[in-house]
Order: sequence, then C-alpha cells, then structure tokens
Amino acid sequence: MNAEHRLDSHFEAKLFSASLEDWQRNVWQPAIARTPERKDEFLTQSMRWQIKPLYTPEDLDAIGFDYRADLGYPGEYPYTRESRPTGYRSNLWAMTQVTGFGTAEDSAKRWEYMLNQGLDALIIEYDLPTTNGYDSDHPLARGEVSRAGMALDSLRDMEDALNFPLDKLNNIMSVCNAPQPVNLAFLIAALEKKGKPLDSIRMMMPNAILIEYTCVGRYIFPPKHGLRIATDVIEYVIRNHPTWAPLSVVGAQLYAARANPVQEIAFSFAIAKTYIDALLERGFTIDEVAPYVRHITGIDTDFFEAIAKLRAYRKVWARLMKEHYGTQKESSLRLQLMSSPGTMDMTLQQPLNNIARLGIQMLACAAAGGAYTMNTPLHDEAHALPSEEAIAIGAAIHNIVAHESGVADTIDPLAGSYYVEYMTKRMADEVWEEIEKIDAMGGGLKAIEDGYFQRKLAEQQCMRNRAIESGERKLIGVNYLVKPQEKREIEIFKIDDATEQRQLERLRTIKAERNNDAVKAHLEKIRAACRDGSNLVPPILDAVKEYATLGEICGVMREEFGEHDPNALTPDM
Amino acid sequence: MSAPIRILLAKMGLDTHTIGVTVLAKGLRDAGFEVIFSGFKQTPEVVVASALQEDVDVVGISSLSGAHMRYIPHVLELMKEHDIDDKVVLVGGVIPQEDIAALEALGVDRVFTMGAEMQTMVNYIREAVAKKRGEGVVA
Amino acid sequence: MTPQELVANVIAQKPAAIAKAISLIERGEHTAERSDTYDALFNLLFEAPFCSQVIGITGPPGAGKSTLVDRIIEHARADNKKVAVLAVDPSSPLTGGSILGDRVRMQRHALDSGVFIRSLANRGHLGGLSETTYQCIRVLEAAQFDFILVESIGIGQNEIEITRMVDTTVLVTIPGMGDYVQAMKAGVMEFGDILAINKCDLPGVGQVEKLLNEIAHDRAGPDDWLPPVVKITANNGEGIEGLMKNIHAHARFAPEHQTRRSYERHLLDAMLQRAILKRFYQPLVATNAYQQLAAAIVERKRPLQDLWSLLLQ
Repeated sequence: MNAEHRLDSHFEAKLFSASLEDWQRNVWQPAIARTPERKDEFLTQSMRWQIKPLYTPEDLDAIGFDYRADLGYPGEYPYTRESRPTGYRSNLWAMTQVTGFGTAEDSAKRWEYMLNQGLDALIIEYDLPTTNGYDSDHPLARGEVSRAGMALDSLRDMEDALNFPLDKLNNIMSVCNAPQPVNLAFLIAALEKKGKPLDSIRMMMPNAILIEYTCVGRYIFPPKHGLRIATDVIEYVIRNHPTWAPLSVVGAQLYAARANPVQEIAFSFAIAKTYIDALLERGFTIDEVAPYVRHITGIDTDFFEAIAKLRAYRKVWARLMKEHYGTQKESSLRLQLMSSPGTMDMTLQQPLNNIARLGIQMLACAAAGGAYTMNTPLHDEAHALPSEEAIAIGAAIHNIVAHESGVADTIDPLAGSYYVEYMTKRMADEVWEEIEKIDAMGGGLKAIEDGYFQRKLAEQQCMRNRAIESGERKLIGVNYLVKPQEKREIEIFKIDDATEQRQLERLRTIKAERNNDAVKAHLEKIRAACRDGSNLVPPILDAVKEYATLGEICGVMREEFGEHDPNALTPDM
Repeated sequence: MSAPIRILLAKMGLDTHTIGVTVLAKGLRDAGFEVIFSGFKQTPEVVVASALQEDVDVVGISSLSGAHMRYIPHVLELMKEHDIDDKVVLVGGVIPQEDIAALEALGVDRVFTMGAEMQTMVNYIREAVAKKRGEGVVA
Repeated sequence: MTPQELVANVIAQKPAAIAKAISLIERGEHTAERSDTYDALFNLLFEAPFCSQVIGITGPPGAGKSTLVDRIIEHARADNKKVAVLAVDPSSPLTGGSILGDRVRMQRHALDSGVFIRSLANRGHLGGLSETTYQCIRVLEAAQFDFILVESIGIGQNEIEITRMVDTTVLVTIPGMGDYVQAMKAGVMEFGDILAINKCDLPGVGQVEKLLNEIAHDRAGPDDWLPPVVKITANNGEGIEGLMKNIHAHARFAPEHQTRRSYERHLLDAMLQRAILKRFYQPLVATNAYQQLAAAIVERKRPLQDLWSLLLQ
C-alpha cells in the first residue's frame, strides 16, 4: 500500500501549475498581493526595457528563437556563443591599461616601467593641441600643452618618448584621431631611427575619426575629408604593414556619450560600413578589408544587458558581413572586439564602490566572451593621476574573474537562459532594424552630416540625466544611500608652466636647426596629394623625416580641406 | 512678475564634449531660463562681446580641458573694461580646489564642479540674479 | 543714465546702449508700470526715420535659416554695410524658458563692430512675434543699421505677423519639404516676397521649385510683385549673390517701407484702443454705479437703456 507515496491528484494539481497563466493566477498574484513588488516598473538600465518577473520557454517561442539560427556553436556562424571554438579555455583575454600623460620624457619613463611590469601594450594618448592639429606654440594651445596626453609637435618628440630599450616593446596603441596620418608617420620614422624593425611591432590605431563627429569632437576637417584621410591610413597600413591594426571603431565612445546598446552597435556598424565601402572603392575585396575592422565596446553595470550586448555584437556583425557583403570567410565574419568596462557609472562619490562595479562589469565580459582584450579603467577616475593602488586593484580584478570565479571555464555559460536568450535576440533584431534605418537615410556618413547620431545622443543624455536626478535610476552614493558631505578632492594632474615652456623651446630649436627649404618643398607635395587624391601618408612621412611639424602639416590640410566648425554640428538643443 | 533670466553658455578651451552643455542647456530651459549658446572653443573676446549684445543676466563658462586659469581671468578683465561686470559669472567643469578660491577672488561668483546637481545650480542662479536686480526671488 | 542719454547712445550706435534698450523693451511687458526710460524709448519708435532695410527670414526648423543669415551678414559686410540680427525662437509654453541657438551659427561675426546680433525668445506671445519685436526693430533702426535681419521659425500665425513688420520676407524651404509647402500654401500665397530653396545639394530641388513657382504665379496679379524662386546653398555660400540682388529688387519695387508704415498704423490703432480702454473703460467698469446697474439689468430690474444713459454722463 503506497498510498502515501502516490500524490493525490487533487494535491498534485495544487502543487504544480499546469501553465504559466495558472501560475500567474494562482500563485503569483496572491503572493504579490501579500508582498508587493518593490518597484512599479522594473527596467533595464540603458534600453529601459520592461523586465518581467519571469522568463520561460514561451518567451523564446514568442520571438521565434531557434538554436541553430540564433546561436550556433562556438566559432561558427552566427558566432553568438563565441567567436572562437575554444573560448577562454585556451587563452584568457589580454589585459591592458591606459598609460599616462606628460612630456615625452615622462612618457618614456612610464612606458619603460610598465613594460618591465609585464604589461602587454602601451596605449599612447596625446594632448588637445596635438589631436586638434596644432603645435604647442599655437595661440589656442596655451595652457593645454602636455595636459591630456603627450605633446607631439615634431619627430624629435617621438624619438625622445621612445628613448628606452625597445626590445620588450611588442604592441603600441596610438590614439590620435584627426592627425592620424601624421602620427603614424612620426611613429614609423621614430622606430626606424631607433633601429626597431617595423615588423617586430604591432601598431594599433583606432583611427576612428567618424565617431568623433558624433561625440567628443576631436576632429578637424569636414566629415568626408576626415573619411578620406582615415582611409588613406588604412590603405597604407594594409599594403605596407599588414600585421598592424589601422582601424578600431570605438563604440565605447558612443557608449560614453550615453548611446544605449542598440544604438552603440548600430551606429558603430553603420560607421564601420562607411570605412569598408570607402576601401572597397579603392579596389580592395571585402575579405581583404573585414579582418582589419575591430571594435571597442563600453560595458555597464547592468549585468544581463552587458551580456546580451556582447552576444548581439557578434551575431549582428556576422550577419552583416554575410548578408550585406556576401562573404563566407571566417576571418571576415568573426567580430574582433575589445571591451572596456565602463567609465560611465564610475562615481566620484565613494570611489571604492567602483571596484565592485568593475568586478560586475568584467564578470559580464568574461561570461559573455568574445572580447580578446579588456581595458580596465581605474577606480579613481580618469581625471586623477592613476594611483599605483588603482593599477594593482585593476589587475587583481582581471585575475580574480579569470581564476576564482569559474566564469571563464566554460564557453558562453549563460546560453539557454530564457532571459539572456530573449534579451540577446531582441537586441540583435533591434540593431538590425536600426542599421537598415540608417542605410535608408543614406548611410553612416550621411547620418553624420545630417546630425542624426548627434540628435539621438543628445536625447539619450538628457534622458539619463533626468533619470538620475529624479532618482528613478539609482546610482549608489550619488542619489541613493548617499553619505553626507563627502568632500572628495580630485587630484588633477598638474602641468606646470615650465613644461609648456620646455616644449616651446624644443619646438623653436627644431625649426631653427632643420632644413627649412626641404620642409617647404615637402609641405607642397602634401598639398598636391590633398588635391589629386593620392595617398597622403607617403608625402607626410617624407615631410616628417625633415622635421616638419604636426601643426604645419595639418595647417596645409586645413587650407585644402577647410575646417569643420563644431558650432555647425551643435545638437539642436 | 519678473523678466525671465537670460544666461549665456560658452565652452572655452579645446575640449568639445557636447554632453554636459546639452544637458545643462535643456535643464536651464526647463527651469524657465532663456539660454543663449555662445559656442565651442570660444575666446574671451567673443564671450564678452556676446554677453554684451545679449545683455544676459548670467555668463556661464564651461571649462573641461584644464586651461581655465588662462581664459577666465581674461574674461573678467574684459567684462570690467566693457562695463558689464555686474553680471553673474559662473564657471563649471574640472576645476581644482585652489583654483576655485583664486577664481572667486578674481570675480567669479560661483564655481560648480563635476557632479553638481541641476536644481542646485538653478536655485543659485535665481537667488543671485534676484539679488543683482534688487528683487525678490523669481518663482 | 537718464532716458535721454540712453536714447542718445542708441542713436550714437553704442552696442551696450542698444543691448540695454532692447532689454528694456522686452521687459516692458513684465513691469507693472512703464518707466520714464521705457516711454522715452517708445517715443523714439515714432520719431526715428525709416532708414534700414528690414528683411524677414522665415521658414521651418531645419531649413538652414541661421546659416543663411550668417552668409547674408558676410555679404553685406563685404560691401561695408552694417547689419543687425534679431533671432527669434519660441519659448516653452510649459516652463517659459527657451534655448536660443541661432547665434552660435553666426558667431564668426561676434567681434565685428559693424554687426549686432540679438537672440529673442517670443515669451509666450500667442501670436508668436509681437509688438515687442517691432519695437526692437525700431531701436536697431534708430541706431542706423543698413540691414536688419529678423529670423524666426515660420509656423502658422508667426509668418503672418512677421511679414507685416518687415520690408521684405524671404521664405526658406529645403528639398523634400513638398508637404510643408503644400500645407503652407495659404501662407506662401499671402506673403513670401522671395522664395528661397536652401540645401540645393539635396535631391528633389526640381519638385519644390516647380511647386513654389506655381503658387507664386497663382498669387501674383499683372501689376504685383512676382515672388522669384531662388536656389541657394547657404553652407558654401552659393546663390547668396543672386538672393541679395532679388532682395534689393524687391526694395525698389515696393513703395518705400509701405508695409511697415501700414503696420505702424495698425500699431497706432491698437495703442489708441488700449489707451481708451485704460482711460475710460476700466475706470467705469470699476465703479459701483456700473456694477450695480449691470446686476440690475440682468435681474430685469432696470432697462438696458439706462446703461447708455450712464455712458453719456
């Protein structure tokens, strides 16, 4: 007699809901009545999508989810689960950090130190006069020299910055934007002078000028000329230094300008297509070009949104390459992604909290996979001089996630989660729609010229600000669980006047000692290239070797191409 | 009822981030102010000429690139020269503590650093302008 | 500074005085009583001669009006003519605030002493522009600018008003705005002395051109001014020369400042009405005698005739 082991059918009906509706009606509603939900609305942080209490197989059915079509296997189209077959089980991601500011000598010291500490790559940033195409003696450069990065006026600056043993140097990332061809020339010429073989080094240049027109604004020339210049750089590198990386579409900048994930991916891809199309026009095939297009994404603290975003990034890129460009080659279909856990939610208040945020963001990156490099911002914010402690903690987070959490020990561990798959597919679908919308407008360049991206970002910025100020979006320490009167002194990196004076002196000396006739002749050759459309890099390289300055070269380009007025692109407020 | 408050917003220095100034302009408009955007990469001369022609109540300078000690004293000088130093002058952005004191000593009415809340700024502006106009605070 | 001094400084073309005068006029509506200075300024409006060419630049948002104004300034300055600009933008009906973003596109002229740029919010005047705008125009005219450009968003009631207070109205559209033009047909028919198509590098120029020409011909009688359709690209300055020629042609065609004189007649009528209201109506309506009489009339205790008798007293 096993009556007590056989569940009474009536009891069984009470124990298990036959369907979701039953559960909602019989179990959930009554429970909600007793203990109401803590918010009226649950929304994802960026997309502001409604989050349901529960996700089930029915949600996947409703959106037509199919394992083969939507996920596939790692290293196979559409690459949603992972770009490579082995994920992080063979190699973990590369860990990088942004390096500092200051004069060429300061940079040299710091870079040597970091290489000795075993860091994989140097990321060089330049000061505002440089990225705006001005020499340190330009009136607008007053007070800005060497502040946001290294001052780069002439080849001498680059030679002095590389004044340390270069044998350990394998990777350089140089972020220069508008004057990229000049920057490239300086690097090539300086390395040659130092006797470092160019094929022993991997140079990475974001060269992401088109994004600059939509946010941040470090451009000089009108968009179509900016595109031409960037394409010249890419073409030159593909033909002469094929192991280098001449293009990274920095979606992370769009993210920093408050683009939501769908916008970040769609705008980035629209811009990537613009570069690709420009290169195809120069006679390259898609398979020659696509492997050179890399992306950099920003990651937020909303864990599941981040995971869905990374998976959607891979999935849509593969689809784009396949359906739009008709390629079948794996090296073209596979997205190359660097992830930059976000600076957006880093708070000034209670900065140690940012360590927790970073942990969550990097955990999301590791769980979603696909990023080959991860850049850690430092918890005490970009405005402060990175403290050694912050550097150490950043590295530790990488390692804790990699070795203690287990998240990198299997490929795409969250696949199959109803919530994650729902989010991923929805995100990918909306990205595709947005890309088609931008195509209908005439493509990425047109959207920039019309101010479409700028308008969308301005909307997002106001929405986010309102959400935070109203408290609807909680930022711990800022508008929720605020500690009273925390006086935080930001250590702003101080550059004294002496630094600027030294730079000016160096510039004066260069101009006096060089062959000014040769410089003039080379500048005219650059002017000719501006006009006849030939690649700008060779004549710039020649000019740079004669110690023509960045300001002089950009000056010629300004005369030929005109300047793009930032006030013309003021978002319609 | 008092006339709406007019404020000139100018970004000085080579920094061209649009986020802060866009959000600020909209926030000020929502508070009932008339916001005149002077532009990016503005020189002191242009800022002062604009402030004069627009006869604003407030001059708001945003400086994110760190060169504020070069520009802002020059703006204050020019305002004195043109006899419009009775306007409220506000500075926002990345300004270290010791420079705040220096700027205020030179004539800046208030410095708002990163993270300042919109409502705080709006309230300050209302009070400051009311004082200058010799009125009660505008609702 | 005395009112007379302020007025004298405006006439002497001092920018600070012009700026202050405009502020006073703007504020005039916000003060309970008029001040001496406001009155002095106001009288100036009807004393200073007509000497400027006042050009209205109107059109929907996105048409590129500010860029066009920037180009016109450039053109006028090359001829050594002095230019003033009033850039009018709507105020938010909810908050009363506004973002005045036209100036930013003309800032390269900010340091030119022959140029004066002022941004105005329409401050909730239901008609859009208003007498205030006209008064500001007159202040600038008292300062003897050769050209006064009045830029405004053309939507509905606004266009009608602006056309009455300027000498020449330039209506700016862009290709692809066919629907807008159709919807505005009535307005275009009524005004729009010059029909400019901007951003002619965009597709669809031919369509808009055709449409505008049709409307213009419909509107113009044999002796009337036939509004020319002018193609421009303000971004690079193409077509500005031709536009200016047409503006000058219109100035020669139309009787001197007739439109503005008519507007001033209307203004005088309105002022007279207001003065009468203030002097006669309001005092009367406030008296007990009237209030009681009116109550009695509606109670049928007194005849209507008694009201007229009261008035005659």
